Amino acid sequence: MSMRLIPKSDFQSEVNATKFETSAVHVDLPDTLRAGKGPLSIASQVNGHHPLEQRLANWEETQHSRKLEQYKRMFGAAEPIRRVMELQIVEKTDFKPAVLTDGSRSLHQDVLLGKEMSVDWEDVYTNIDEENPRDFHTDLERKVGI
Amino acid sequence: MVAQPVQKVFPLTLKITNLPSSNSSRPWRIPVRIDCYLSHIKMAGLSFDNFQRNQYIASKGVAMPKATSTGTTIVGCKFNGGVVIAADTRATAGPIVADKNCEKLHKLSPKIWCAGAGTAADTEMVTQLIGSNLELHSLYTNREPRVIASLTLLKQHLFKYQGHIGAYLIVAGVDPTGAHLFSIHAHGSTDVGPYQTLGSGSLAAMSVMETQWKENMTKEECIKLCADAIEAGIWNDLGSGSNVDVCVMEVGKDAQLLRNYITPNIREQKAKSYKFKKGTTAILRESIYNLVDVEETEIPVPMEVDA
Repeated sequence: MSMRLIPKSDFQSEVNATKFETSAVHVDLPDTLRAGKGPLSIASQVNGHHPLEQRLANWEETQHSRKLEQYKRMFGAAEPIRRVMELQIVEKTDFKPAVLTDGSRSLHQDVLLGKEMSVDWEDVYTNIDEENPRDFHTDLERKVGI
Repeated sequence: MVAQPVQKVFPLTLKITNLPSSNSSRPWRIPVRIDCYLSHIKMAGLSFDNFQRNQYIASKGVAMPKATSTGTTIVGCKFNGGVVIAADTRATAGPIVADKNCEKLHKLSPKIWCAGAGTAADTEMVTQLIGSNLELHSLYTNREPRVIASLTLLKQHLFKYQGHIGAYLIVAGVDPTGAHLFSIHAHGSTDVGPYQTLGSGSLAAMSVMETQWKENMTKEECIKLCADAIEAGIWNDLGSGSNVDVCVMEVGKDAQLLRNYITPNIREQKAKSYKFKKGTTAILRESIYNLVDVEETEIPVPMEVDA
């Protein structure tokens, strides 16, 4: 954790095969059959991106980790530990398969992140692939680790 | 204010056949599904899905839509017990006037208004989003939204997007702490002052403000000053034109939007009417097809019986 306001540039000196794709549950290999999208060019993932893209991708994370660092300095280590724990309890216990959600956070997550009273582009344009949503079985397999 | 050009939507799998080639001796190689990498990672929020594709298409000599410079005059000025903002109503797309009477004054909350220069769609959407956030915040805290809160929300949002959201705004309003006037640039920097001008006509407007502004003006004087400053932009700046819109926010009163407060560019009546009279063109033949047969039958309505 750090006091960073702005995400740092994420230059990658090495990447692995499943960095940009969902991997199969047991082995660290791209789940090409399930994705059904053909082979992926890793060079296209690393090069030629819009300068804003990485900044926005890591924005919330950076702000959240700065807040936790500030809590640590003000109230001691117990405060961020409790907050992260609460957030993880919520994330691990509510199971929402992709076919049934619009990709937004749950109300409980919103409350714990202090976002229950604000709206942003991420709430309007969620990260659900509307054309081919992940099927229920994939979600369940992932959830119970089959 | 710049109206955004309609982007051409290309089919995802490109078949390149007749594009101008820089090296004509080399035959065109058709890329194998350049969309194969586009949909693997989908990020929430604004989409960058087509950035690499657009770069690729641009490198093959297809002209991409270009962003053009700001063409707008917006001003704001404080008076004793309130604040006034004003704007012209011209929207341009390059050398073309896209809209002669567009609205550049946006409502953030009932008593906080915002004049926008820059990319038309960006000023519109960013003020709508921040307006929603202000309303949520005021419901959450059960207090009237403050101008300084809207300023902070706007500048933090614009800073996050590094100027790629091309919104240049003058924010003004009244709240329990009084009347306030600020300006914001697209990169997130802000200004405070008794009068503000922004847009390509800002120099013309600022010259009026600098010469005629005085302290402790009345409401009427302030409206006149703002309208004069906008008119300076309308006449002297090619990117600004048409009418003057004004919004007056006074402490303890509802905000008052004076749409088309001054209309100095009314279209002249034509010397003659060039409309053709009905029946000018003779009808040579007329045939009407009955596409459906209409049958009318009478259905007896049962008599109403009192219960």
